[in-house]
Amino acid sequence: MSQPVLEVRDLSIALPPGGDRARAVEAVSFSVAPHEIVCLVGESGSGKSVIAHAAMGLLPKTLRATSGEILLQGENILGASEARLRELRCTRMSMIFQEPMTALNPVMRCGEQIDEVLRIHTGLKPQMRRAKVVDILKQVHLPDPERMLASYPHQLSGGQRQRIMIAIALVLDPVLLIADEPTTALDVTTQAQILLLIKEIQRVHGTGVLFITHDFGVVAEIAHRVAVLRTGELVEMNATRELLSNPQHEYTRMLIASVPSIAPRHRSAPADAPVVLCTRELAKIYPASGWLHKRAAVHAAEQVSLEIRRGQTLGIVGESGSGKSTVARCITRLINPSSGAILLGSDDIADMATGRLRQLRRHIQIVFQDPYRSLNPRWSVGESVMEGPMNYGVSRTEALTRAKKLMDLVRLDPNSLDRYPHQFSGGQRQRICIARALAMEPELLIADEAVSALDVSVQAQVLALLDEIRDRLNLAMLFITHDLRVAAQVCDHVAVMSQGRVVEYGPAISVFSNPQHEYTRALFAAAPGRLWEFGAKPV
Amino acid sequence: MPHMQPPEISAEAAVAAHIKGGLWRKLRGNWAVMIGGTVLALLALIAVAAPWLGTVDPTLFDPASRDLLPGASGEITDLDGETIAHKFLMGSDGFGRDIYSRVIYGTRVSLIVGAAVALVALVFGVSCGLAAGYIRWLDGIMMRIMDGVMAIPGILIAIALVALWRASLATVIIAIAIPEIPRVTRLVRSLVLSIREEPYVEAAVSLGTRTLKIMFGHILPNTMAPLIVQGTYICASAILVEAILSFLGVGLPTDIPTWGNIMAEGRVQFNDFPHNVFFPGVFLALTVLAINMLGDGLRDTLDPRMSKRI
Amino acid sequence: MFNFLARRLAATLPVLLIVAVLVFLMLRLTPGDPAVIIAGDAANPEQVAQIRAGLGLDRSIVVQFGIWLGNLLTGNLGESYFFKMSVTELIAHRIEPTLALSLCTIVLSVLVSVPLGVLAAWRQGGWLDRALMGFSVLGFSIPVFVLGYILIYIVSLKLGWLPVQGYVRMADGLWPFLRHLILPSITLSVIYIALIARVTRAAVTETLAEDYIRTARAKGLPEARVVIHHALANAAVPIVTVIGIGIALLIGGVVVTETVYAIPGLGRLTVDAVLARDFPTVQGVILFFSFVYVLINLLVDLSYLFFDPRIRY
Repeated sequence: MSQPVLEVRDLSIALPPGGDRARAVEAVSFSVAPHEIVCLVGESGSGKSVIAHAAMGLLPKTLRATSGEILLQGENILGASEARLRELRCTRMSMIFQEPMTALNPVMRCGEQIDEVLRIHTGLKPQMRRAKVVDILKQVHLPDPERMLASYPHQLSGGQRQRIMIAIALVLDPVLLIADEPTTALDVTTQAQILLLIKEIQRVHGTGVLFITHDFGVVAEIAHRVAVLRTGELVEMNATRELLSNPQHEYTRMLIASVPSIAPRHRSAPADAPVVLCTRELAKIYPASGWLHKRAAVHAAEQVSLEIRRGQTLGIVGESGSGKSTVARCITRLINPSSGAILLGSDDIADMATGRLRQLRRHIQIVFQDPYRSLNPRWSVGESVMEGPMNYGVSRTEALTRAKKLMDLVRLDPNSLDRYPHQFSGGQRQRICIARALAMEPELLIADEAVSALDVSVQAQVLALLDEIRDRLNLAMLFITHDLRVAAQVCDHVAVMSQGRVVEYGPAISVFSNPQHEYTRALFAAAPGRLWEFGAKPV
Repeated sequence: MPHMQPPEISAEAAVAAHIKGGLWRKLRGNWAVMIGGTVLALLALIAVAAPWLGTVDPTLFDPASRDLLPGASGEITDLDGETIAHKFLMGSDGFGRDIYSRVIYGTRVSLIVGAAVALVALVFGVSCGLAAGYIRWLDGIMMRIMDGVMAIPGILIAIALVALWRASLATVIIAIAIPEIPRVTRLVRSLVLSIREEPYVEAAVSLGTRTLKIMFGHILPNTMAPLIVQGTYICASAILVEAILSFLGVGLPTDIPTWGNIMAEGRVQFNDFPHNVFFPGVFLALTVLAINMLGDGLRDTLDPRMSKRI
Repeated sequence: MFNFLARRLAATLPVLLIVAVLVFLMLRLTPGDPAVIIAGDAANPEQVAQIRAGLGLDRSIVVQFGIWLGNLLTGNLGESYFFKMSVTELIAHRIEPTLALSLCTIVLSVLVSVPLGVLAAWRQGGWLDRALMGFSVLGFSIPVFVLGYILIYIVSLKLGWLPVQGYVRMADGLWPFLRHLILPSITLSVIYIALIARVTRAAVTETLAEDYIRTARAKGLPEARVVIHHALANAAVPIVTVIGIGIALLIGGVVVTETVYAIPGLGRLTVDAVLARDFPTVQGVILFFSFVYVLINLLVDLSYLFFDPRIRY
C-alpha cells in the first residue's frame, strides 16, 4: 500500500468570532491515494471548500487551523513556511477553481500564463518551455495550440478557459490535483467534456484528485471514493458505489433522496385543459450594430411557438445562450419581442401599449434565479409582498391579510412579515418571492431558474412547494431550467432550446425516454450520473 | 450554473444596522466620523456664536493698530467712533483690523458657501441624473453636455462666472456649484442604470408598479448613501474653491470677511507678517480636513462597497 | 480595435464643440449688457459702443457664433485689450513656464504616488497604508496656496535653500531652471499625489481580491510578481484614467501656484486677464486649457488599447 498522496488528520479550522458556529471544519480525517479520485460532497457551508484551500495553504487570514495535520506525501502543509508552500504549489500539488471566467489574468496571454509556472519553478530554456506548453495544450485537447498560446482569456469560451486552467495545474505533473467545483459554472455538455478530461489525465499521469462538488451526479460519474460533509463534520465516507446504493448516515440518505431522478414522472394531466398562454413564432433579434465595424445580429430567440395549459407545467430546458431566459422575459414583457405573438387568453400582449398592458400584467408573474437580489433590501418582506396588490387598488389591510395567508401557504411564519430580507435564508427568500408572485393571483407563474441557486435539500423542498401550489391554485407554470433532473421531476411538457430555437417539444415522458433531436440526445448523454436513479421518486 | 453567494455582509449589515436603529451606534463607532463630525459641529457653533466670542465687528479698523503681532494689545475704533482697548489674539492686518474677529466671522461664510453649494449641486445633479437614467433620448444629449462642462476645469468656470457677474454670495455659490453638477449627474445616472438591472426592480415592473413609484420607492433610497458622501466631498471642495477665488482676487468683496480674503490681503506682507496668512489658513485646512474625514467615515460606514465608485 | 478608435474620436468632437458653445455662451448669457461688463465701471458710452461692435454683439446670436467659431477654427482667438497683441500670440509666449511646471509635476507625482499606492494596497491595514491615507486626506484639505506659502516660509525664507519666487527659462541655464521649479512642483504635486495614490490603492486592492490573483498564488509565484504582473497590470486602466481626469485639478492648481510663485505662465495670465477684464484673453485661455484637457483624456482613452487587450481584440 503506497503512501497516500494527501492525508488529512483530525483537521479543525476556526472561524472568526461572531459567526453562526465556532469552526468551519471539525476534526475531519480522510486520505487520497495515488491514482484515486476522492470527492468531497456537501451543501453550502459544509466546509468542503475550506479544506481544499487549507491543503494548498491558501486559507484567508481570517481562518486558522487550530489542530490536526495536512500531509502532502508525508510533509505537513500546515506547518510549512510561505516559501516552502510556494515551492510545492504547481510542482507537487495544484488547484483549479470554480469560475473559469475570472480565474485567468485578463491582460496576459494564455501561453504566458502557463509558461510562468515553468519559468518560476524550473530552469528550462525558452524553447524547452515552449515545447512543454504546446505538449500540455495538446493533452488537454485544445485545438490549434499555436493560436491558443497567443490568445487572451476573453477570446476563449468557459470550457476552453477551464482547460487552460487544467493545463496550468498539470504542466509540472503534480502528485495531487485539487479541483474546487470546477464544472459547476459550466454548461452540461461542457461539464461532461471536462469531467472526461480530468478522468483521462488522472489515469495517464496517476495523479491523486481531490474533487469538491455539491452535485451527486458528478460524484457518481467520476469518484472512486466519496466523503460527505455537513457543517464542517465528515459524516460518512465510502467507496462510491457502496455509498450511493447503501448510505449509512441519515444525512447522506436525506441528501441522496433529495436529488431528483432523471426518469420523468408520470402525472396524469388532462390533455384538454384550457390554454392559458401561447406564443406564436416569437422572436427576439438584436439587430446588427456599429456603423464602422458591424457587430453581427444576435438571434436570441426565433420561431418559438409554445403552449401552456392550466394546471400543467411546461419546462424550457437549455444551456446558457439557448434563449430560454429571453423567452421568459419576452412573455413578461420585461423586454419587448421583435416579432411574433404572445396570446394571453385572446389578447396579444406582444406589442401592447403600456397602459393596457398594465392591466394584464397581473396575470403573469415571475420568480427569478437569485434569491439574494430579488427583494429590495430596504423594504420589509411584507412591503414587498403587498406591493403588487396595492398597485391595483387593493387596500392596505386587505393586502396584509392576503400576504399573511400567502406566507402560510409557502410555509413561512405569517408574523415575520415585518422582518427584512437579510434575516432570511436563500430558500426562505425564494419562498417569499413565490408568495409575492402569488399575491397577484396570476394565471401563469414563471420560474426562471428559480431553484438553480439553492442547495439540493432546499431545492427539493421548494420544488415540492411549487408542485403543491400549482395543484391547489390550478395554475399554469412555465419552468425554465438547465438541470435535466429538475425538469424531469417537475414538468409535464418539455421544450428543448438551443441557440434560440426550439429543437424538440413534447410531453416530458416521450422527450426524456425517446429524444429525437441530436442535440437533445447529446444533452441527455452529458448529464452526469445519468445511470444512477437517486431518490426523489415523484408521486 | 454558479451558486449564488450572499451579497457582501457589509451592505446587508448596513441595512440591518439602519433598521435596528443601530445606525447611530455604528456611526459613533467610526473614529473618522466622530472626529470630523465633532470638529464640524464645533465650527458650526463658532459660526453661530460669533458675536459673543470676544470679537468685534470685523470691518472695524484702526490705523494706530496696524500690523500688530498675535497676542498684542491695542486699540480699535468702533462704529460710534469710540476707541476701546482690545487684545488682538491673532494680530492685526495692514489696515489695523482684528484678524481674530475676521477669522471667526469668516467661519460663517465658509460654512454657508460649503453647505449651499453641496445642496445646489445635489438637487440639480439628482434631477439631471434621474432624467438621464430614465429618459433614453435625453440621456445622450445630457451626458454630452455634462462631458462638455466637465471638460472645462472647474476653477476656470468659477473664475470666469464670478468675473462676469457681480460678485455676491449668491453668484459665488452658483459659480462654484455649476462645475460640480456633472459629477453628481454621472453618479446618479450610473446608480439608476445599475439599480434598474436588479431583479427586485424587474419584479416591481412585472408587479405593475408605476415608473415614478419605482424611481422614488426603489431607486432613490438606494442612492441616498453615495449621495450623502458625495455631498460632503462637494462641501469641502467648495470651501476650498471659495478660498482660492478670494485669494486670486475674484471672490467675494473684501468687506465680507472670508478666510480667502484675509489671506489674499495679507499675502503682500507675508515675509514680515506671516500671521495674516497663517491663522485663516489653519482654520481653512482644519475645516476642510474635518469635512473630508467625515465624508470618508460616512462612506466606510454606510456602504463599504462605495469606495470603489467614489 | 478600429471601432474603438473611431468611436473615441467621434465622441471627442461633440465635446469640443459643446465646450466652444459653452464658452461662447458664458459671456453672452450674463445678466446685463456684456459690453458694459467688459468695459467696466469706469468706461464711457463710446468705449462701450466700440466694444459692442468689436464683439459683434449687434448681430443675431447664431451669426455671432458662426463668426466666432470660424475664427476659432482658423486659430484666431481675438485680440487682447490689455496686452495689445493677439491672444494666440499671447498664449504662445506664456506657454513654456506652464508646460515646464506641469510636466515636472506630472512626472514627480506619478513616480511617487503609484508605487506608494501599490505598497499601501499590498500591505493593507499596515502603517504605510494608514499613513498614506492620512496624507491623502491632508493633501486634499490644505489649499494649494497655503501649502505654497508654508513651503516658501520654511524652505526659502528660513532655510534659504531655494529661491522664493520667479522663473528662469531653460534656455538660460538648466540648473537655475530646475531650482526655480522645485518648490512649485512639490506644492502642486501634493494634491495630485493624494489623488493618484488614493485611486491606485483602491484599484490595486480591488484587483488583489479577484479570482485570478488566487490562481497566481496557487501557481506558487513570488508575491512581487503577483502584485506587479497580475494585480497592477489589471489596475492600470483606472489608474491611468484618474491621471487623465486629475489634469483638471492640475490646471486649477497651476493657476494658483503660478500666482504664489510669480511664474509668468498661462495660469498667471488667466488671473491677470480676469482682473483686467480682458475678456478675449480669458476666453482664449479657457478654450486652450479645455481643449488640452480633452485631448489628454483622449490620449488616455487610446492608451487603453495598450493596457487592456479586451479592447484591442
